[in-house]
Amino acid sequence: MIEINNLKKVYPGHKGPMIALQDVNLKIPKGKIFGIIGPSGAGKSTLIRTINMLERPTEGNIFIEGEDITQYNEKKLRVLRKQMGMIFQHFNLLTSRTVAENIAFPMEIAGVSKDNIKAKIKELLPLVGLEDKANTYVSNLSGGQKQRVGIARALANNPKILLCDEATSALDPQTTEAILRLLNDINKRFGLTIILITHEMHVIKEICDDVAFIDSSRIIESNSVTEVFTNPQSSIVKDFVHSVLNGDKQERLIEEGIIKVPKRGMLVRVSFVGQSAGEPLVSEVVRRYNVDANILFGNIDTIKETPFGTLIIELTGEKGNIEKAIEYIQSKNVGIEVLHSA
Amino acid sequence: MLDIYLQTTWETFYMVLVATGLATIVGIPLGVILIITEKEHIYPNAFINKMIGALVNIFRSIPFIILLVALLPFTKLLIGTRIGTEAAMVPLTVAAIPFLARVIETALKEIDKGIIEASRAMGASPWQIIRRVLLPEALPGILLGIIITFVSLIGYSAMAGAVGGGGLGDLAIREGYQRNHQDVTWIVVTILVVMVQVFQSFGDWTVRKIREKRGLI
Repeated sequence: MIEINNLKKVYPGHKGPMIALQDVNLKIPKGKIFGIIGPSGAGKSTLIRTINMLERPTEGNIFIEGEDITQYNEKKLRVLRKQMGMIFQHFNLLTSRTVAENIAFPMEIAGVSKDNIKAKIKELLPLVGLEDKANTYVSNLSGGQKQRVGIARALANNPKILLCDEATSALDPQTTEAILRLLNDINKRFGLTIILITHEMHVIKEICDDVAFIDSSRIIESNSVTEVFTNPQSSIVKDFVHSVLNGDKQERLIEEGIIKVPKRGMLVRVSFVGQSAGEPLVSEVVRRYNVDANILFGNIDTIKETPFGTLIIELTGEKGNIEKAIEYIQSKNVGIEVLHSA
Repeated sequence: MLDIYLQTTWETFYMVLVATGLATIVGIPLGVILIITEKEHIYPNAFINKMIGALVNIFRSIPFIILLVALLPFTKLLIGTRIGTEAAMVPLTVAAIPFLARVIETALKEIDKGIIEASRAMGASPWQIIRRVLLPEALPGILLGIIITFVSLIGYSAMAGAVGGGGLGDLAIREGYQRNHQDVTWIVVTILVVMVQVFQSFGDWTVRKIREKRGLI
């Protein structure tokens, strides 16, 4: 478990101090995939670098398994970093070394014996699907292959934590999928805690368990991914969520009058996650509260491996009944958002 | 007569080689110190950076012919004589060190900052980063720098001939200029041109091979 308390980072800039992070409080559970998302310049890059202290915070503490690493000196930090892996947007591999030699690099630094290095390389190459590339120099690889080398290198010293700095941002969509699958697989197989930063909501939706939204140096929302998708709080988070759920499309359909705004009643968006996606909620509401429900738009998707559905429903009937119906839907742990009310 | 050309060519080659070798031994650490003590590098230290930078600049701004004369007492102290091939190596080495330091610094500057960051993230110490990252990654650039130094010193060594340093320069001045044997001057010049071509081409070829092997070209 990683606990970040009141973290602040200020850079001394030419035009006065620049605040990169402030009031950052996060709890990152062990063995989960934790995503940090935000627009560029929000501070996410700085934040992930404080977790292995490549960036020293100005104020605040970071506890890893109860130990405050902000109190560590360089020597202790080097020991700590050997137990953490990190992968990068631009891979940062050594061009002077082959694939196998790149994977060997962190082990050489940690003083692992030659035989053990060899054995570990043999184990890691098939894991990342690069058995036939051991002796290839890394400049001859594709982006996806380079990131696989990066992942193998990051896993070489059996870390408990893996930091991913925009690991898929330089890759095409197909390669991104493959790398995300690999990360998910590694997380499950080794029980590794993965912390990733990204600006793509798609990455969060695909593999993350929990997510923190960062904007202008502050965390604005932090929750489980399913909760964020069904019940987003701030407008920025709503925008992010809608961006991957055809949300924009729904809004456009309403704007263009293809989905008609009802003259009476209410237009609501209902989001289902997991189990509840299977329950006959709509028909139940209709029966119980004597309202009419007209489904205008439906969409089904998955968050990680959990099914996730969205419906846009026009509810008509007596006002009191509609309100009761909405309350009932809320009580069922289903996200509901009123889009329009006549 | 052929003997004299062979002998002086060997002398030139020998003193330039030794001077380049000695300068490399001192110049690489200096170049490394210049780069790692920079702001936000692996061992930031503004004082050391400025001091070595200034020292390198001072020595680089002294014209070689002046350095040559100014170092005579030092050479005498070190070698025991002011003339001859060994004596000429001293000013050549001193002139080459700051030049090489800058060339190495430039080669090391080319390395992607991300690679250094990744090494730090793996828990590498500054020394490990120097030995396993900076020097191997910059190897082609460093080799090119050494070759450029070697080739420049061939020219400088001719000047050393002016103060009795031996080698081709010495021959050209004593035989070609002072005795007015123009043919000797032309032959010496031709040998120098060929030497420069051969070593520069060899250097370029080696560097290209390394870069090809690494898939960089």
